[in-house]
Amino acid sequence: MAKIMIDSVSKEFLTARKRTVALNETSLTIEDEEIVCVVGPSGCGKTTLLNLIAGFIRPSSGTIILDDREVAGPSAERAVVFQSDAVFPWLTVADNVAFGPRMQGMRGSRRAERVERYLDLVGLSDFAGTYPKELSGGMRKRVDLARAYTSGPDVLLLDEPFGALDLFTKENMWTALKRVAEAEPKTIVFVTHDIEEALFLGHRVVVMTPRPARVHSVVDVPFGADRALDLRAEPEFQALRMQIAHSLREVHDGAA
Amino acid sequence: MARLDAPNPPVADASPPGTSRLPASDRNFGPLISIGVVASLLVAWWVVTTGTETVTQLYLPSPESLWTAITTLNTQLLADAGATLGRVVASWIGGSALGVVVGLAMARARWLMYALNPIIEAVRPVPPVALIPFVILWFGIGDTGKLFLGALACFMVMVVNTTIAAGNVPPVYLRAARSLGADDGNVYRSVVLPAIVPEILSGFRIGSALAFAVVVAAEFLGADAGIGRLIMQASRTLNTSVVLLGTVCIALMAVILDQVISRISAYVTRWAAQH
Ligand SMILES: Nc1ncnc2c1ncn2[C@@H]1O[C@H](COP(=O)(O)OP(=O)(O)O)[C@@H](O)[C@H]1O
Ligand SMILES: [Mg+2]
Repeated sequence: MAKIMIDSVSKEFLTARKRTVALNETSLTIEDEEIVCVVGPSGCGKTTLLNLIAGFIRPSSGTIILDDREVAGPSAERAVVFQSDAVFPWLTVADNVAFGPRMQGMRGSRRAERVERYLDLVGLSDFAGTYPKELSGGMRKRVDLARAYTSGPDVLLLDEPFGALDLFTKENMWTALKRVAEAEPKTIVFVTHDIEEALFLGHRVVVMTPRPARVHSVVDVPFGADRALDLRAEPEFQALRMQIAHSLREVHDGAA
Repeated sequence: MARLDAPNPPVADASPPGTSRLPASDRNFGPLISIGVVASLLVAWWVVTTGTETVTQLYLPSPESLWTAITTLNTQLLADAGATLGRVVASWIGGSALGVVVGLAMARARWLMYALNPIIEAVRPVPPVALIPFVILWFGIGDTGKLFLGALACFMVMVVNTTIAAGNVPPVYLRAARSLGADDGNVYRSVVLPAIVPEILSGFRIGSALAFAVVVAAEFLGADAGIGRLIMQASRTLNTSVVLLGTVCIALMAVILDQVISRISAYVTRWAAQH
């Protein structure tokens, strides 16, 4: 049984001036504990897709089913790491990470243990009492990631989480994410415009067409769970990267 | 797997709270400049009055005559200052607290926003002082009317500040809270309220200055105690040293109250990034 079933979902936005079709009859099935990376040109509707799965917005038509139930709104079973900075500035790092368990009524020592565990996994134990304003962008993203994980979701939705980071920090983040995901596997939908990132992290890479977005093709990533950063230099990796780059260019020219 | 994720050092440019964008050299001179200006004004005041007697006592009382006024008034000055400060603090706390509560409720319930907004927008531009005749008719010249006016001024500032600030909370915070399991009430208590604390505190500061202005003005038109009454009575006999003393008292109290608030708010909002 699939974890998430996206069945011919469309989404159109009506504003005073115009009607934007952000997603057009998109279908996608995601298995339990699978990491699916979604790549596509910017403005194609990737965030819209993630917002639909998160339940922040409702589809104009079609259905999104998670564990046999239709998504009806946001819930703690689907944690989100946003494209923009969403760490609460008024809470310390530890209190940010503790936010999910606190909202869900988990108390005292159990909560503290969980917080400690995930802070350690993302390498932020030394910054538990620090306010976010004193952290770098990469560290804030790690707080975001730890906060999402600590909340104990079934599904993790990440929207270009590392898009604003430099390459070195980004590589650190990949490693951190891989470590957390190995310690506690989850169904992960990871939106990015970085093909290498998608190939390095994903079990499958979904290529979207330009707006209105739909699934252009799905690439199975043949590398095992144990991936080192140097994997990117392998000919097989590069060949896949070129293949995806080609299909992105192709859909782009096709649309233009 | 190698631990490639050694935490980056904290960003270097996080300046300590309370500092501004001024370069380091200017920053150290800041307090000196302020002290220098105040000191020169005091000296100039003495020079034009007692020192050279260029200006007559009536137009600008000398420092010595101010001191004489203080010693003559003695405990009465303290009683008047105490009465004014008490009214200011009571109306300021009451009005501001009510403003925050109503502002949050308006931000949360659309219908309340539609119901109250026209009234608030209509009353807001009216200087509270303009209502003094009504207030005297309604409440007499006792404390109630003065508290009402001061509270009204603070309420207006806070209700507007709060609704605008609550509407400006980045939606991404609300969404993040939802997807971490927060319900409606939690979103307000744990996200909206803490997020707007800086705006609420800056509203408190504006409100405290406003409360002084409104309460003293109300005291002009009748009160049994208060700096406003003191000034009004002295001005009838052209006792300008007492008038000046009264204004100095108001300024001192307002500055001290403002300092207290800004110290507290600097601590409470120590998480906020400097801008
Ligand atoms: N709330 C909205 N109202 C109107 N148009 C929107 C809204 N959200 C997204 N869009 C439009 O939908 C399209 C897809 O947006 P988005 O999903 O954010 O793209 P991506 O994340 O792939 O860059 C864009 O053209 C955008 O302008
Ligand atoms: Mg996007």
